[in-house]
Amino acid sequence: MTEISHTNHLSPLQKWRHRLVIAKCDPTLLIGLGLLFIFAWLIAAPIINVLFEVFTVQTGDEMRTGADAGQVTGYYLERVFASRMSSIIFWKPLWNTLLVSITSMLLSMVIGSILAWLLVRTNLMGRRWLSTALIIPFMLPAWTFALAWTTLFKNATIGGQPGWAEAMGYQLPDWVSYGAFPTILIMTLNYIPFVILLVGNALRRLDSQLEEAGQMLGASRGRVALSIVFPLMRPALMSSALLIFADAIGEFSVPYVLGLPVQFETLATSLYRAIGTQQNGVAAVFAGVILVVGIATLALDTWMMREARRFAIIGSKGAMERRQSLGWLQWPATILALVMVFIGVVAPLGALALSTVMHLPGRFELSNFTLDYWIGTNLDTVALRNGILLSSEFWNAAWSSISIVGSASICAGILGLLTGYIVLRSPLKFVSVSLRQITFFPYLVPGIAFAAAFLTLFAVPHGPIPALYGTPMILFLALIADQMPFASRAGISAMTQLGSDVEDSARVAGAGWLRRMFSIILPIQRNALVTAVLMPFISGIKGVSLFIILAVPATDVLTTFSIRLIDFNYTQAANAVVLMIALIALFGTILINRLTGTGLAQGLES
Amino acid sequence: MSNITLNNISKCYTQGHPPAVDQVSMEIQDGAFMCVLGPSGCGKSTILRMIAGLEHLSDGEIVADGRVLDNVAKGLFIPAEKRQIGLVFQSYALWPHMTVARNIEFGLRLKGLPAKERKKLVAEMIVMLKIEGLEDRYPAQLSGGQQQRVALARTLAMNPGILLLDEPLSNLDASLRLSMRAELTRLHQEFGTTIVFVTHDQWEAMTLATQIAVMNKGTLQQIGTPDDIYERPANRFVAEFIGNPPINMISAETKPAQQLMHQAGFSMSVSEGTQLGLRPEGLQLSREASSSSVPVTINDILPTGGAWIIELTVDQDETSPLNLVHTTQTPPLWQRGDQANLKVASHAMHLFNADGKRQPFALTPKAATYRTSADVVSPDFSQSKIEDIS
Ligand SMILES: Nc1ncnc2c1ncn2[C@@H]1O[C@H](COP(=O)(O)OP(=O)(O)OP(=O)(O)O)[C@@H](O)[C@H]1O
Ligand SMILES: [Mg+2]
Repeated sequence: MTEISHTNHLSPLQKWRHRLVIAKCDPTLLIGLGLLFIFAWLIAAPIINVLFEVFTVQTGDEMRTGADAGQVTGYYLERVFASRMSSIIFWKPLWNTLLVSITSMLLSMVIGSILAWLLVRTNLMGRRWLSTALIIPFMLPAWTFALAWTTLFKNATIGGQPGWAEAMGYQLPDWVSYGAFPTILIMTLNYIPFVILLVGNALRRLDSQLEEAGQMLGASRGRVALSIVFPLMRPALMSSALLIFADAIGEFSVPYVLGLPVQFETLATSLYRAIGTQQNGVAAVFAGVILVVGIATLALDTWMMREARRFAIIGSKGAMERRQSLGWLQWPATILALVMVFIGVVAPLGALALSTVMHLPGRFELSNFTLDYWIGTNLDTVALRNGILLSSEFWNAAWSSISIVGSASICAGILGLLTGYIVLRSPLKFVSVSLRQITFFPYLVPGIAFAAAFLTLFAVPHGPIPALYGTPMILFLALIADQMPFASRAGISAMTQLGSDVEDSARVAGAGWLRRMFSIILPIQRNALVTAVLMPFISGIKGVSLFIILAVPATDVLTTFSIRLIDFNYTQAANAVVLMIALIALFGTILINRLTGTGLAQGLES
Repeated sequence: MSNITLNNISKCYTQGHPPAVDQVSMEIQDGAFMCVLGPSGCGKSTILRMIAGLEHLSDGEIVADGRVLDNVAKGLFIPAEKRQIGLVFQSYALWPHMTVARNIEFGLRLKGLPAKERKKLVAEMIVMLKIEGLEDRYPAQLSGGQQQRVALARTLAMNPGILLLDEPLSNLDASLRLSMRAELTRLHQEFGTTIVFVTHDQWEAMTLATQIAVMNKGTLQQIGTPDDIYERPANRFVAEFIGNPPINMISAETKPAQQLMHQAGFSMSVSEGTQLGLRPEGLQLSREASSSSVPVTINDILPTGGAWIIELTVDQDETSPLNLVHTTQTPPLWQRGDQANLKVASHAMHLFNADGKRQPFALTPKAATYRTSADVVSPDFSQSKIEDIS
């Protein structure tokens, strides 16, 4: 007998009244709807709005479009895709974007997979130490490496201090110093740790018995790799590749630092320039393109992961960990790993650090060393006459960074945990499903496009909300929205592990909702909450995209401060600021590892 | 101290799926020890959670001590935190961030008891449940049995009128189970609390309960004393679910069945599809053939420590062999392959019609002589039940 047949003596009205009475006893649903509303406003509205802007005449463009502001127009689409300017303003940057993204994706996949295999599956010497060292670049902002590159290899094409190579008498062609080549190289370096983490985890779960079974049957090592390991790893490999690609198309800071001197533009830098020159309609088109490519890529990834689950032999519980002996390859492999540590960590950080204590680049004489750029006073520069540690600009920027990013991260963490709670407890399924999806959505949207979307929505007053541009508020809100994927993932996974019995037993003991939150859930989830706050904090502190679009000099933060220093050619000071950012990010990551005992890999995957 | 009435309660988690609980009614008397028994997934936990207020009803009504806890038609619902019903979870669900003492104290704090009284109560509970010395430990530092006792202490400290227990013994090893079972009986007698105890272990139910409710697929099959359930199963499901090894079920229309009914003094006319159940311990084997006994062959003898399981095949010329299981507590004098003659005590026989409903036997006139000569080994749990409950 089904429900339909035996409860139909109840009228729908009676059922709804009963539901209502129950809902009144428990604020879960109400909070869920509240969260949905907040995220609709912070995440969905800006993105929908920016897509509308593409077709709307912007203020100031009345002459060009021959229509009043606010009317529907195809002008911006035409200008970007099909005008005389298209090839310069769109097709060339698009080509550059694809070139950089795809090449660095492929390179980092190849190198990263080899390193992951060496670390996880072989008896590589010092693998414990190496697996930490090789991950370090992941914790640092990408443009740290871009700055290191200019520090070392800048040539005389643009003014300011030369790079070390130039200073030592080597003439470098432009293509080495700027543009596609260094951009690809730096982005590759930046993504390698990511591949090591994701592919390494997948390899760890791959049962080595499968491999051995193949070898027992007499297959050669190469054959085993090709016919057993590779097919089983394909989902993880594809997924890493797509995640990297989606991230790379929105990457702003590296092409900005390295592409500027030779007019090497990508979609992200073009978007920035369009906003800088008040071409909001065109900017909206760029944002839309980045957005669509990002969403399409990650939709593809989700779809493929679903497909992959069909043959989930990977992750059998008794997966055995057995390592292959490298034999004569031991030395070359170890050297390869060490070289990667040198290129990815030692050289760039060393160069940056050294550059901040040297007057002139590349000259290693005792008299050339100085601490002026850190703690000097009355320097012979136009602005910034004190070392950064003694300058108020630095401390102001540091304070804004920490206070804006910090408060946004705390909010994101709390919202993330609440989201986790509602996703698992909501009596209405649609509330949990839509909350889970909407909080993950910003992950699909490259930061620079998201920032542009935020700008278009919140730069003008809407109803009771005043125009927020130029206030810390817009940064604060954008950061929260941008960090929700990490925060909500942390919250959902923490709440999944907790289960509902612990809370139910508090209910039975007589604890109301607030009491359960504060006496049971939050204390138990203390570490998860810290992670849900720290993860957004680290990625917010080192992030550039949001700030470059949404910050104004009044809301200077560390990243915009250092980019301004780069623009003014204060190389040493800029490098010093970047080192400080890297330091904060590094310590934050170490703190998370200490607290959770797991590390970032899990956070990325779940 | 409390009684609970379930009036036609139903629970449907997902629309369109069969309900997890389907129109269950029962009356749980003040001071009863009610066991809800049934196979996994039959809706036992769901019933407990609905009584506790952790799930709401899809239909029906729950009343405790005259207070309506949940009524769909009238739109009434009292949330779990206001019901003052104790529930011990299958998983114990101790709060991992609180020490044992704090776990026990938490509910008392919510009740607003002053600190001194709380201390006293906590100390009492700790002594009563023999968890002295563990006060300052965290749940993760306790063994399963200790956690279980803390969970009980935490619930009992609130002195609930109704105590719901969801398979609280299932995670314990055999000896701990035995001592916890004795403990529960003692608590029940000492406090006079109404207890609803969920289990899928029939032995546990038989030894503990004053009343047993047998469930299957969300519906109530039978409710009654342990004796009722075993001696007078209301339907085929109950007969087959209770008893270990399970009851022998054969078609009542076969020749051996007819013969066995005849020797027990029952009329042999049965309708189509009727099944005859034979409790294994009610089978009697002898060497002498009589006109009414059924010839069988001993297939196998399995010692199970103090008792024996004997597998038989009825000697008959039909194509499909008819196998029966017999249990005895006297050492068997048989060898594998021996021929024997089978009779069955009348009280070990049950008749079920084609719908599975219990059907009374019609007696033949000479029945009385058989009914009194019950030299049958009684089932082991009805013995221990008598010790435990009286
Ligand atoms: N929250 C839920 N959502 C959907 N279905 C559920 C939910 N909880 C239980 N069910 C379903 O309801 C039915 C009864 O579940 P219940 O937990 O009451 O069984 P049970 O008798 O306690 O079983 P067990 O002995 O295994 O604990 C099962 O089919 C189960 O899958
Ligand atoms: Mg259960």
